[in-house]
Amino acid sequence: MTGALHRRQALGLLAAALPLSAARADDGGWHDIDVTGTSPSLDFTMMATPDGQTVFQNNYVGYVTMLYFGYTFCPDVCPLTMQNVAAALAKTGKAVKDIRFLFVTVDPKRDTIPVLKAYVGLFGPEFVGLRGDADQLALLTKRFRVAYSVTPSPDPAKYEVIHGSAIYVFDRGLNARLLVPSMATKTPDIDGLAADLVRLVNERPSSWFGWLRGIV
Amino acid sequence: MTSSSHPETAFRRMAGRAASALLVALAVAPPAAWAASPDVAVTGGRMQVLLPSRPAAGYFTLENRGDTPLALSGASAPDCQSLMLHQSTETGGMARMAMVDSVPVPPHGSIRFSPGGYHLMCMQPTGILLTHKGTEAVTLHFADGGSVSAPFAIQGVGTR
Repeated sequence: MTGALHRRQALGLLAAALPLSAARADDGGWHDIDVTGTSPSLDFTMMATPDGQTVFQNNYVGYVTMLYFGYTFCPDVCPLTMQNVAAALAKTGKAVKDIRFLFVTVDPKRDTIPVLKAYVGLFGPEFVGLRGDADQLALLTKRFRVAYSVTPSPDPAKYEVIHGSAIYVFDRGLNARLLVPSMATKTPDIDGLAADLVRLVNERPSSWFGWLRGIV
Repeated sequence: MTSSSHPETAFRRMAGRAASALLVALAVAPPAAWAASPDVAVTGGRMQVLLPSRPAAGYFTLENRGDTPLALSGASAPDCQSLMLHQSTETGGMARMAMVDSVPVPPHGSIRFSPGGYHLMCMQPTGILLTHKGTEAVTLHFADGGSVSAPFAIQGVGTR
């Protein structure tokens, strides 16, 4: 009798403790998914809009950076994603100047720098197009386990591209912090993304200064 | 005096009525070519145009007001080299876009082509589409041979 009660109490305690620890592990007050410490830091070398200059991760130290994979022949999901991100950016106030969105094409064969420039330019000055060669793209997609496939066809209507829909968010020290599952849903959490971005911009800079010291 | 009208006048009047009736019938009942025209309503039509060299997307709501099921099987527009029915889907974090052959529209039901789902894919937008203004006459084709046209508002990417 008392043993059963104890067991029940113990189970009750366990049940009470579980949601707390779960909340701490995957919430932390973030609206998007916290991936701090479980995803690699930003690391890449590619050509960037507007002029095709070579950039690498250190160009984005000091910025809160979003990383997304898409292609410019994408008339629906990619614009929807970036329109919703642009709507979130519009709600970040002054923080917007410290935020960048990197649109990495998984279709570099067709997506030249001039086309990428025109495409990302539709969404706002914070949007940057990145184009890598096959090795550079493979390195970045493997690093973040982003799956994609391109099935070329002479008929553009049958040229099929499948790409990951998530957005990775890095802090000003290039650490992976958040995963935005998809901004291309019927109910995108635009306010939540805006709040998360502002929070990352406003983080005490000690961590990324520390990171800067680490690379110098 | 008792006769209300002259027989000839009466005949003329009848012939006139018959002619009017025929005209009315012509105006109301669609000619043979329209026979398959379905009882549908297209609302909220818009074309979102990105770049001249890249596909544009068309969105709308289609309501089937009739008693028979319909199947939307294609689309066309003067300023699209081709206009196809497409569907974006997302499974396991992967976004995919594929052509669809037809989309069923149940009787007294409606379907919505909206961002992130069904959309019309306009290959090589030209003409007025590139001005991001005005309207494009989009024709929706049905499996039974009928079709319906509706103006789609042309727009660019809407941000802030």
